[in-house]
Amino acid sequence: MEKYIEILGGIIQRQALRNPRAARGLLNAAYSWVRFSGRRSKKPGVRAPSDGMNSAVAGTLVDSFRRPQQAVMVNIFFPCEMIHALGLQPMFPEGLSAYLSCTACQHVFAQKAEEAGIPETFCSYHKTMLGAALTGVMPAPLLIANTTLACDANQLSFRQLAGHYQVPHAVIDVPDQVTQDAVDYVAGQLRQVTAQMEELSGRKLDENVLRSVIARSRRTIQAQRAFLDARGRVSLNTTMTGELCSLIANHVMLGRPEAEDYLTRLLSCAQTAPPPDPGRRRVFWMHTLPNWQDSMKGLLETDRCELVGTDLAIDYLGDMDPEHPYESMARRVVYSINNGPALRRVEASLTAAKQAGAEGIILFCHWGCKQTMGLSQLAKEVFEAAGLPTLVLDGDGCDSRNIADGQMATRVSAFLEQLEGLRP
Amino acid sequence: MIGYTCKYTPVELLEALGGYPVMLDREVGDFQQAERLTHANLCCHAKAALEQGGAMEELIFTDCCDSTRRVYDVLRQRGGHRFLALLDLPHQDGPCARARLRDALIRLAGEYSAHTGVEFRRTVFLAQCRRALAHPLPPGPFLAVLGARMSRPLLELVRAKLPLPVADLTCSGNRALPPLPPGADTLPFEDLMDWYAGALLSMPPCMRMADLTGRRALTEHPGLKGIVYHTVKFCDYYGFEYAQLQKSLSLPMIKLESDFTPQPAGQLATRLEAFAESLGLEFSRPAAPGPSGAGCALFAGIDSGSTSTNMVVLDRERNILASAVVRTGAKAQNGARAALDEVCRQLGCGPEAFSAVLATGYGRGNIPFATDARTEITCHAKGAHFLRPQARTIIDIGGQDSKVICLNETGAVTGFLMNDKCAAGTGRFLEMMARTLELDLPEMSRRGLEWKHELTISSMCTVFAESEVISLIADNHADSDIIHGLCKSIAARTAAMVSRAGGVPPYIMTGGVARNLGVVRALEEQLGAPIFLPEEPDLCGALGAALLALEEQG
Repeated sequence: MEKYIEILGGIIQRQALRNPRAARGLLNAAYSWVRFSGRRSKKPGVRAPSDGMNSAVAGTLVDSFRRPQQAVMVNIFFPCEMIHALGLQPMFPEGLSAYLSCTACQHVFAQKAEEAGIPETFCSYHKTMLGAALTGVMPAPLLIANTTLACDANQLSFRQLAGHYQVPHAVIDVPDQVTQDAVDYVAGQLRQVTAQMEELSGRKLDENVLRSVIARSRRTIQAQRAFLDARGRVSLNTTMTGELCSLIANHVMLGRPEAEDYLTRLLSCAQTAPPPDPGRRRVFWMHTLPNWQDSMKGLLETDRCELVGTDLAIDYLGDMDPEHPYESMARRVVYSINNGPALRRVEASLTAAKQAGAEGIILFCHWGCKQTMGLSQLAKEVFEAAGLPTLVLDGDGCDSRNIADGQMATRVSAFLEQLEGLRP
Repeated sequence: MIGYTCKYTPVELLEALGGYPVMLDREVGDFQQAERLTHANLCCHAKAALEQGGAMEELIFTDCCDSTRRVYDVLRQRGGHRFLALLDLPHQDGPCARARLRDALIRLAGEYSAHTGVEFRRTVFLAQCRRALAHPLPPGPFLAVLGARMSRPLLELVRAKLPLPVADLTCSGNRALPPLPPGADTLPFEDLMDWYAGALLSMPPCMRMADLTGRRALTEHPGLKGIVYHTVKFCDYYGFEYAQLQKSLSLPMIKLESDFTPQPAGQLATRLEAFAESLGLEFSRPAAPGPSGAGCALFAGIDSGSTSTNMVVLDRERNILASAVVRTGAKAQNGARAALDEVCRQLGCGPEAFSAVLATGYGRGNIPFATDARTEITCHAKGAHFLRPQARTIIDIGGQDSKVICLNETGAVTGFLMNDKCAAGTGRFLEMMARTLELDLPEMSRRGLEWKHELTISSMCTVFAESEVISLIADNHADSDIIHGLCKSIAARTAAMVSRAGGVPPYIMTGGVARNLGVVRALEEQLGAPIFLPEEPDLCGALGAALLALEEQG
């Protein structure tokens, strides 16, 4: 990590406890710079579109810091098209946690949450965002709304946040059964929460605007499908941050012009990119990525390795129907590969990995994520039976206190050596 | 037999279809099989269920948490069960959610009936529902276990150790149904299942449900005198409620965390007995044959710890006449005998000179010459209040555990926290790191104050921290800077514990780690307040024990 970021992170950590408004101001300034510079990125290949998407995400953080009363705090799996259509801002604290870790200031927030009694074993993204609220750095939103997909942490953190901020809280109960009945059940709840947003914000939802947002989501997913079709035939200069951008573009930002622009630019890059580089091992990634970790960047973003995709970014690739906006949003949640039996996610990941021409899979067990940890051995068995060597890698997407950096680097390095040794 | 884990499991329906439901609440020796099939950091109850359930022919899980879902997935993938089901349990309890659960129950009934070959027996179902009617809590004062499910052996131990009836109000206990609807004998099956779905969803909610209003009643019963709050390692649900209850509840409460393996009896006994002491509900202890004699005026306290055994002798005026610190060694009895010999040597008397000897520490139950015993929580509080009456928070870091004890102005314990099965932040952690740095502990303490550059040891785990230290050594960092990083790491962990316990200044620090000034300074910085250090921080527990011996016998 750059020295100046570490210095900034140190200052923010001190201010977070003494003067949270000042800490928020510093974060605002830092993320405003990310927004500004990302738009103008001239980096080669997919790095410029990634910077552009990163800029848009940083923009949501800045806007929700500045105008929290126009922000709805949601989890990453919450379908946000109605929020976009109402002109409100999605505020997704998991994203903030990832940004805080890249600003070298996450420890103070995780520690603050632990001091308040949040279990040390809890997901660090959620722990960090709780700490950001408890310190007063993250402001109170208009409404908090979360789905029960994809993990238990949502049920705990968002309820806790609602209690802390004393703001209304809505829960979208997503059944484990992947059926049309479940879609109808979720669609009904989405209608209710939209009405709640209208009431709280004093804005009336224009159904035509919602339809056009859903139409944009549809085009974005279509662009993503086309990109994935081409992905296996080309080599791209991907990064962990870029993969996270794809995840966000396909979730909270889906329906916004920036997400459509991002996927369209990615597709355009893929259409002109060179064929697979024989010197780089093609690795498919499962679960979130530790983009804060220099040792991982030094292995995964080099001329030795190419990240060819991540399962969280492709958890639903079906068509959205603008004439049935709520059902479309509900279907995306219910039919997400993260819902239902673990085997759905494992098999979809295997298909995606093969489509992307992966030679191996890294399954990242992020600290506290029982969903992913619980399926890790099952997935490894399925992937390896299909001929894809798999590394189950323990780590943390945002908190360095829970990892052994040297061990992680050794494992990933050895895995790349293993893939190199397997090349015909 | 059909194994199940959750109170929302429709056990009455399963029995009506020929099943014999059995709760998977046993402890297991290890998680070898479960960790091979899943991951070490999965909820320990789920891993225990996987160990137990793997051998059962019939299993039913509810969609109650991420870990349980994955246990079901893994067992389903492995195959070999004659019946294996996952009940899709809603998070809400409104009409739509109830209808969904009704449909899920009807589907389950069809599948299980096809498996057992038994048609739905309405009389059995109704009889089982009547048996599950809300049963009253114990009459008169009682204690409750709240939070995450507890293994049966641990619940039995808690019941044996506490002096009042203990109600099981955990997520797998406290199961009761409302009265049957009118005309239940003739209701169509679908309507009966609709009532049953509503009945299941009307139970006091567990923490995975969306609306937790019904949980308030659990802590508002007038007969409830105290709570043992239980959490399971790697289950996150109940840590949240515990944190909230700590702020809002006026009842005495103790937290226990377990992992569905046999628990260390000594530490558990210490906690439970200290909890009973704080309730003013002490146990009757048989008087041990001791060295007491008529007219004797010496009162001794002996603290049998994991590393050292410490002893203090007082006269009636509370003057310290003798003290000893000896290594405990392999047997607590031998260490205690050596400490007794040492104080007798200093006093020039024999053991018969003592009016009372009160034992504390992990080995307190194995000291043959002790006349009484108390937990180290009570004894540390007594000793610290004697040494520093202003102190409101004791930070005790010993060889194998660390504690934070909160006191009021009279020295009474108002709350306490102890670390769990983890060496991080204890004397053992420092010992391991000193060994890695090839230093002895006094040298480590001295060098830690000579640091020049700020280093951070971020790992909270002892093993990971050791590998970080090795990396820092390899990077040629000065050992004084590394030691300072370690001191900060212990201080951060301890300060978080102080905060969780609700500790406030003035602080006093006891235990062997108080001799490490690097840790003390780092902790003062974290807490933002000075820490009082007694001259002999190791002797605080023994001193408190001697004071209690004097009060009770003198």
